[in-house]
Amino acid sequence: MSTPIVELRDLSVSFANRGAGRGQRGRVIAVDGVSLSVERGECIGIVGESGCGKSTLVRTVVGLQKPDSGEVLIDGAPVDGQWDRARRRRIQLVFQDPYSALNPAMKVGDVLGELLAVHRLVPRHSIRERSAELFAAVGLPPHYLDVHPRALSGGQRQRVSIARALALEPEVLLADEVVSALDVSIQADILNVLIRLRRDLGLTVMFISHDLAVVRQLCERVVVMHRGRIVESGSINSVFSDPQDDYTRTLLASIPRVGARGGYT
Amino acid sequence: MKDVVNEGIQPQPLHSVAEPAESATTDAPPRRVSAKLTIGVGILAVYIIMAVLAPVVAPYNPLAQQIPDALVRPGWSHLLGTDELGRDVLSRIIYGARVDLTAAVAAAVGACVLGTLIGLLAGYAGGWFDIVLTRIMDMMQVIPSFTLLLVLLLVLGPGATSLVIALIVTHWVAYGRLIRGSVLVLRGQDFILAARLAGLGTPRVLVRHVLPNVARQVVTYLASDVVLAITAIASLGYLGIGIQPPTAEWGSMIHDGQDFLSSNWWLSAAPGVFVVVLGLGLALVSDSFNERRDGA
Amino acid sequence: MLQTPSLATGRWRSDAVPEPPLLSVRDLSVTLPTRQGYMKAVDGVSFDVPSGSAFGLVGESGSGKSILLRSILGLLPDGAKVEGQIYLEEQELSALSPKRRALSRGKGISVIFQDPMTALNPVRRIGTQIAEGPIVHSGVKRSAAHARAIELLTEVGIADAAEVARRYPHELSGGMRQRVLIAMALICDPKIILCDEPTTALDVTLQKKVITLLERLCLDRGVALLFVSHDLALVSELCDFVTVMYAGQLVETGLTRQVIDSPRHVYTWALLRSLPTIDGPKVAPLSIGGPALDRVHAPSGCRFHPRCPIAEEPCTTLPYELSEVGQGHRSACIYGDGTLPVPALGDPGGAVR
Repeated sequence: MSTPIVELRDLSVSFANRGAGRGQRGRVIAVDGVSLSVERGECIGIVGESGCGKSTLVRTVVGLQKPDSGEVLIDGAPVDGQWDRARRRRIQLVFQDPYSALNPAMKVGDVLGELLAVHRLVPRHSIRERSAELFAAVGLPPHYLDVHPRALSGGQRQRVSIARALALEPEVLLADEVVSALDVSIQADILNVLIRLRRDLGLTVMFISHDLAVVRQLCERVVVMHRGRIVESGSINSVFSDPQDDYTRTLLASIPRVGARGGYT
Repeated sequence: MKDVVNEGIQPQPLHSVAEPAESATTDAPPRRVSAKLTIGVGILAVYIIMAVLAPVVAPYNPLAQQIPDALVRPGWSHLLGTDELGRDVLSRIIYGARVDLTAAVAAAVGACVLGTLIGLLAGYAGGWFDIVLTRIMDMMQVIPSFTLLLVLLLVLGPGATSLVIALIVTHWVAYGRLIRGSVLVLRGQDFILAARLAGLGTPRVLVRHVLPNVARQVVTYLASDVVLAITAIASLGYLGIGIQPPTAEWGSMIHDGQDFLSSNWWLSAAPGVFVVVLGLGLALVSDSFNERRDGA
Repeated sequence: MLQTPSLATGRWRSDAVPEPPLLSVRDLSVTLPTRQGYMKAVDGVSFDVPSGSAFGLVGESGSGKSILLRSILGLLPDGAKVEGQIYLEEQELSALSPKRRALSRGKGISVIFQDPMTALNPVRRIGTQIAEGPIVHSGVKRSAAHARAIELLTEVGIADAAEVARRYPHELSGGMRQRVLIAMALICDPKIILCDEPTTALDVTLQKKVITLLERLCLDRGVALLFVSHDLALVSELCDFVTVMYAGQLVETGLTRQVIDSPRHVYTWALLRSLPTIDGPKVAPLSIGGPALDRVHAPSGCRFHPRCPIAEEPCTTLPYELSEVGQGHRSACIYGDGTLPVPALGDPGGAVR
């Protein structure tokens, strides 16, 4: 049994309560004792609704948030808040909001070029060629390299975000609700990009979403989060056909189904 | 029912997506070429040419005193007449452009650079750094700026350099706050996060990602700040504590012309008009920058 | 007046006796000025919404569905040019003076927008905001209006309605705020509620609750719904009728059963095929490829042809025409009269260009 590429051991994260409400004190527990192992090359879905802690989990995994207790391990080595460039390259994040994920002042080709240059991934003269390759991998033609984000649609921007994540040749891609802000028909485009990349590059993908139907397309395994805890975990097929937890059942029942017209009970 | 699992799925081939909609069109609603911008830039161009080409454009030496020719009315030999020491008013105004414009630009740009640096650091670093710098900015805003200006001039002595320094010290706070605010907003944007997660160092993030996105606001404010600087310099010159005579400077010219208001009113009025028109030009330019920014 | 429920075709029978529709849109076109040129956001759209029905309007961003909704309300941006007619119970709306139009908005038509947070005034209590409608529109006394507001809050499923009415918007959860919006939409007893993606910003369990609520209200009160969304699955769950829009044009319309079971326009087929499946074999969702839609310079002939897998030569030249392909089922596709020559839904790896 090989070392899992990403492992979370008993992770807990909480925040000081600054919110509205009538004089509530104490801390808000966002992530409550979560343990998770992600094998190399697998695609795991992390599903939950707002407030379940999945965003905090993501931020903790990439080191933007310090856990109160527990460990994050990358390839068996505890991270412990130490993120050097090499480690940063191994795990990359793609964000939810296509409209804030790209620098409005930079051409989208330069976004990739900058990373390639700073990390010295290719010789200077090959930067443009490599950027074009990356764009091709996500289905964008090379002339898009010279365009500014404002000329692109939501789906196109997400493709650029994925290309940017790929530029550093990561082993793990963390996709944080990457299709949630897109129309349903555009979601299919992005999903297909991810399916193909997984197949071609052997990427490990951690796919965070509130949409079980989307997760079903992409992932083999899924964990369901509710109020900071993992309430269900298993293969996509078993969770769909035989959900153990009440919350999972509610989630499954809430998914809109085509042609279910006939009212609810 | 056997699932068609991943191996069987043929992901649909992706079509290449077409040109983004950046092309120009024929029957578009007419794009208003900003009249404001054209007029504003036109005015500024005249002043800049005046300032740069002063030795060429000015008919007389601004410092040359011809007492016998004092207080000549405007006419063909002296288009705007002469002042009480026989110096040609027009030439003095032209050379004055050099002085006032340079000082104002130096002061405004200096304040901008200082304020931007501090604002950037405060906004991006956060924590104690931010708290300390914000308190400093608060304290500076409490002190009436003109008083501070006068005190600084007293300490530094009169002259163009001390004037510029004093103006920078009193004006940087506005930029600091502006930039800090923008940076705080920007910090929450995903692309900044993405840069950090890609292992880019703070200096690079500040210069390539943060700065270009706050630059537009700064430039807009800068244009209007130069107007304020001009007015400040002219006012101080008028009060006699700015740029000292015999250097031709609009403010001091207005002051000197006061004594002859009833007879040779143009001695004060002419430089005054030039100050106002320059202010107008700068205001038009900065206004049109504002509009472009909002419209973009 | 509700039609006799029928299990076979859902609530509406395709052979039902026609009665005058509640809302009728005829040849509606809306032109908007953009930086790239004039754009026809809505182009010659006509449809009827029967009284008491749930009518779904589906399309991608840029299809014109939201602009269409806003033109019914008369809430278009400056510079918008509107052509065509909108009838509410035989009364032509654009013929009304702006003041009367505004009044009709509260009484006959009401609306639920997408974002519950920005639709509510943060500095006024919930009860006051809901009660505002009848006070302004029908001159109802304050106390009566407040009582009505509390009744409605209970009806939309808020427990402790009297207490909630005294709260401010920020003190409520997202789901409760959306219910408040629904209560506000109901208070003037409208004949039709226009819904502009009301659940897009909500979590899926919350979405289900809101949709259930809307459906119950539609059935119990006989109020019609015009439901705009980009999610065809959602619309097919709630609505009796489905209309699909593409590039400002209506490309297919009919009973939900008709459109879902036998789509007669390739775009509808492609939309259905792009939805992630929940049951059955895991089929890769279809990417509708092809060049992005240029809204200013629409392609000649069928606007979908650059992205259509079965487009032929006539598709590039024939003008837009909506023809009857079944009882009450209309499609603008030249293949609409028979089964589309595309692989059946659920067919894995369907060959698409």
